[in-house]
Amino acid sequence: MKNHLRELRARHGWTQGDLAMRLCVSRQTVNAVETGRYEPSLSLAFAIGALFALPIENIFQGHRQPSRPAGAGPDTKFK
Amino acid sequence: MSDPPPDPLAPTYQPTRVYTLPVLAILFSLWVYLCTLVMAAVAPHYLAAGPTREFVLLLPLLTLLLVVCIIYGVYRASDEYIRHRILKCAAITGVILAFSTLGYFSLERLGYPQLSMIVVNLYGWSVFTILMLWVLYRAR
Repeated sequence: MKNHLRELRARHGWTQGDLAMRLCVSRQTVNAVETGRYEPSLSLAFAIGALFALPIENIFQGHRQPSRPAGAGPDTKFK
Repeated sequence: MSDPPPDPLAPTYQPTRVYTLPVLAILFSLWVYLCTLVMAAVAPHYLAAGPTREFVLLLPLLTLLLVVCIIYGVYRASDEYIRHRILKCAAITGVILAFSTLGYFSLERLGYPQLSMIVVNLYGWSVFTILMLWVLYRAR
């Protein structure tokens, strides 16, 4: 999953430590999210969105597409 | 550029910090565990049969519980990525233990000395502690 966290952080002139402090996480977590090594939970993603006053889809772009069309009913694979 | 105004509807995210104290607590609890383990190992030679000896022999269970509680406390106090890393440490420890014990089983068949189960216990905790302390050190 790609994200624009580094650009947004640079735009505000924050270091990774500054952002980590604002999000109440460790600097290592910010680094892992920025470099794409870790995909944040919804809770953290929403916290990042709220901090930059942006919707999360403007910050994170996923590559994963739904495998089945919407409204196709429940998956019966494991029945 | 000034900071954006605070959003009153912003989700609350639990503050997470890994300080020196939890790391020291882990090391201290492991030291206490090792001390009680040594006491339990030598108790049969120095203590007469009775409730005191049985208590000393079972004491490592209590101190191991202390170690587990402290590690769980550090896990709960960590943020989601550090938690993820700690769980990865546990998984890596399991894999290392599985390979080591399997390897030594083969060596024992070749005549290497038979080791006590407590060696596996100490080895596993040592590997896990080293991996976990490395993660906590990097998370400063």
